[in-house]
Amino acid sequence: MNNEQYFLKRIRKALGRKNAPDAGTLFSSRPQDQLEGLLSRADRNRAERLELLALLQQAAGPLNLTLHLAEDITEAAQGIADLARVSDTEWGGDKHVLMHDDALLHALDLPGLLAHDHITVDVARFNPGEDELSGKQRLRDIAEKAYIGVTGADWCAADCAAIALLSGPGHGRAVSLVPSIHIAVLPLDRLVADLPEGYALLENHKELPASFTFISGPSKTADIEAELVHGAHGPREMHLFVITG
Amino acid sequence: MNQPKDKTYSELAHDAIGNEELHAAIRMIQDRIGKSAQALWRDEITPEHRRLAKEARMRTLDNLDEVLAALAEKIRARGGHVHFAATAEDARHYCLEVARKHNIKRVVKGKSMTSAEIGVDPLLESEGIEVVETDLGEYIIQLAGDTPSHIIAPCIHMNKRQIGKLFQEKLGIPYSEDPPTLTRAARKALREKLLTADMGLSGCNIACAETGHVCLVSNEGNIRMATTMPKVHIALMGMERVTATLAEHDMLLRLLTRGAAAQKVSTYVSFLGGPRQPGETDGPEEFHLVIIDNGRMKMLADPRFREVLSCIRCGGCLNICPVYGRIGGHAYNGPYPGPIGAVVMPLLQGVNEHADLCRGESLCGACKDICPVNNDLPRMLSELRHMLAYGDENWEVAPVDKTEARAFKAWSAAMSCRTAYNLLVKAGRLVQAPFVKNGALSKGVGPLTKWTATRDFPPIARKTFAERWKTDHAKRLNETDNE
Repeated sequence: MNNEQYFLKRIRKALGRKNAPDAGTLFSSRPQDQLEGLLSRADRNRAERLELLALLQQAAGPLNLTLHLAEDITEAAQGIADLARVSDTEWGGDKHVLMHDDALLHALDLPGLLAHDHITVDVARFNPGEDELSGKQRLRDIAEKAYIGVTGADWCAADCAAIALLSGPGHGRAVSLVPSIHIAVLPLDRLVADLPEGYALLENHKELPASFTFISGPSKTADIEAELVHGAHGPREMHLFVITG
Repeated sequence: MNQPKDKTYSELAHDAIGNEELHAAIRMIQDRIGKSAQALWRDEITPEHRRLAKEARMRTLDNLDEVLAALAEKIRARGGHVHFAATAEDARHYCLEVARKHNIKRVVKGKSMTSAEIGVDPLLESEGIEVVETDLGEYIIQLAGDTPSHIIAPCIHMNKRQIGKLFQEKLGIPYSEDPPTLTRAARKALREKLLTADMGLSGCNIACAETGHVCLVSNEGNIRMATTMPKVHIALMGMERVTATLAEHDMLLRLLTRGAAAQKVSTYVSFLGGPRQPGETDGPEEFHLVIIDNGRMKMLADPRFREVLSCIRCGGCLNICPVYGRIGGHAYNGPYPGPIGAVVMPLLQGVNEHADLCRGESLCGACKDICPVNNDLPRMLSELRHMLAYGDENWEVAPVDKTEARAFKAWSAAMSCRTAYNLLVKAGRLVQAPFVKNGALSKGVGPLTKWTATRDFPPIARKTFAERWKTDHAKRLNETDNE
């Protein structure tokens, strides 16, 4: 008997039964119609989503999450480029932007927009044929010197201003974590009302990735005399660009 | 255990009761978070939500074998390692083995009380491995060589002047008592540690079996750093900290962040279910989950205490408890302070060893009201007191004070016999006479000294109610008859 079997046997003994339970309902504790209800609730028309946007604006303020509304991708790109121009690096050195490998973000054309500003834009993906471990190290070095990380968002819950980021190839975790400023771009149709709707979308996802994260605002701490300070270990600023068009 | 053992609960509590600065600091947290959480339970979270959450927790516990097997299977399918540890020793040695295998030099920690429970830091350090706490509060505590005193605000007992001096001395920065300046200094120092460590060690808030992830919440981002950047990540998880489904996870996460900090969601919620997958550009190369018993099995087996395993460790009960508010976290002498600690510490480490904890709490019920999963802590505190009074074979509890048990037995006999009771009252009046000053017994003798050391003992009345009833009521009846 291996250590897991022995452990589970002891649990059964503690629970006063010999065998594994009939766990038929254990992993389907949510009634099916509840999930469907949440999914159809999350499927909104444009007018309803604009109402959620107002809710998101209210939630973002106290979290110090800076919200930018852009009509279209071009306006968002201009806003992000302006932000990159006026923001300073925290740890010195040249200005580097690191972004996810994502169709939406490529459409921003940040490398083109920032070409004359001495700002380098890198994409967090392996080069063709690159050894993964050396590629990982290469991208890690870039992430450590980057002052801005740009990501998309799989969804955003309006009532608590949390975006969800599902990790995967081209969607690394460090991009939203190591640089001093995190910029996320959200098309309006990915805005949902609250965490229950967001969780329902995750539940409906075929196979969830090995890791995913919810982020709601810049890093913060209140460990010294309960005074709120931003920028503990994660990004000290977070900007969310919502494309409303 | 890396807790100071040289002072008892009574001594530590006594020290804290005179510490007004500590009271003010805790009051700030209790006023801000405790009261906000109460308001959220009233305005935002329905009683139905809390009832269903508790139901889900108990269902998971009733099927814990199945739930843990599912969690382990999912994580292994992604290439993660899962180790089931029966004891603290087993768990900490597993961590050491992993560290040795990878020739680890520096470990960064995400805040984890389980790591303190199993005493992993001293073991790693004894092998020459540097262990760095990265939660700001825990880091301050570590620099000061102190121990945490609150579940989510570990250095609540230190003020900014003490922290300023500490940073001046340990980090070599100019003295400052400005929290943003101090935080920036720690950010810089810890970023270097976080980016150069080769192993991350975290706890686990609530794992999800259905999807195969541990889940960790933080506001600072240190936990994301410690679980993303080093090449190895070990997550320590008490065996009960798991839900079966994502839907239940949703329900519990919303309770956890509100109970802990009155937040709708914490800044970061990380779901981690394995090492870096092929094609991914970051994440640890190795992922280990250590599922820990260390005494929890006994709580699971005992119907009186199974409920306490449904705790999600939000620390909400600390933010409301009047006793914690006066004595602070250190008095509890262990990694889990406050009302939850008063139940869990004795069960984990010995009821007799921590006998004072359950007796120190007031049973006022505030912890029960604020608990997001409706845990009846006062009931369990009473159960512990019962064990201490009468002993308990299963938990190897020896009755603490046989004199007390005998006294109550005699009292019970006296109470049930009118003549004996009346005699005793008369005798008592005579005996107490020389000690009563200003209508109170303030300085007792014999076993009564312990009581009167901190409060007065009410003396037997000059005339008891029964005696007054006999004389006064008869008199009144006479008067009414005469009218």
